[in-house]
This record gives sequence, C-alpha cells and structure tokens, in this order.
Amino acid sequence: MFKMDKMLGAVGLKPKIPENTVTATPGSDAKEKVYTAEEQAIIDKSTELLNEATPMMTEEAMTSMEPGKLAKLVGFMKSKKEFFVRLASFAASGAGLAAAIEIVSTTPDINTAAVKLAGSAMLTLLGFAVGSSYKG
Amino acid sequence: MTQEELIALAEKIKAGTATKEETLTYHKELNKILLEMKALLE
Repeated sequence: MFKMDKMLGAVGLKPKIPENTVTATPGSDAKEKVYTAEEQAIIDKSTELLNEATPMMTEEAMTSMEPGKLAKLVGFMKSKKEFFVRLASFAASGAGLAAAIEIVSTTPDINTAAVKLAGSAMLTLLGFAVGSSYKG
Repeated sequence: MTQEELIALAEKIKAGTATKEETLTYHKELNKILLEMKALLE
C-alpha cells in the first residue's frame, strides 16, 4: 500500500500544509494567491478527499474489493479515463509518466489497467491538490 | 465541465499560469470527481 509521505515525496512535495499565505507551486510564475477562508476550504477539501481515497485505490485494495463495487469503480474510472491517464503523466520528475507507461504496457486488460492507472493518478492528483496551492 | 477542460486547467496549474479563479475551479471540479469516487468506494 502507498504511504502518503512517499507519495508526496515522489512528486517533490511535503505533506505539511502551512497556514495563512498560499502561493503558486515552485517553478511557476510565482504569482502570489491569497485565498479567503471559504476558498481555502475548497482546496483543503481536495486534500482531505484524496487522503481518504488514496488508500482505497491501491492494487492491494482493488484485489480485495467486492466484484460489484469494483465493476462500478472501473466504470467510473473508464468514464474519466482521459483525465486520469493524462494526470498520471504529469509528474514533473517523469515518475508518473514512467508508471503510466509501465501499467499500460504490462496490463493487457483495460479494466485492470484503468484501476491501476487510477492509483497512479491519485499520486499526481495529490500533488496538484497540495502543490498548486501551497509552497512545499 | 468536460475532461478536456479539466485537463487544460490542470496543465495551467502545472505550468504555474493558472489564475486564482482557475485554480479554484479546478479544485471544485476535482472535489466533485473525488466525492463521486468516494461514494462508489463506500
């Protein structure tokens, strides 16, 4: 199962969420963004939901999931496939892209590949949720 | 929002060129997806 700190580290981020000022991610145009409490709550919700979803999106979790539930999840993932596959390739280090390529090349069954890609995409999504809003 | 629009926003965030409004729109849409996913996993 993925460990959160390792996942964040893989995309060059730290799990710590600073208070107050939020800025663009490192390497950006460095425009400073200041959010209201309500806006910040929307961003924090992304992190919260990702923290909840990530442990359930691992291959290990998938293999022990009820078939009916897995089928629904796969259907959902397939409906968002383009988005998830694209995000899985976004990791700046190339790790996400390498993982996505490996998954696609070694998993002939598209349903299984979709689920595995979901797990990979979670990593990148988490990076966006934190990195797009906070300076790591 | 279409997947293409969402991807475009993600790319702008990744590039560091997204406005505050675009960043918030992305997170709102991401939250919708994650909430839907969460419901499927529960």
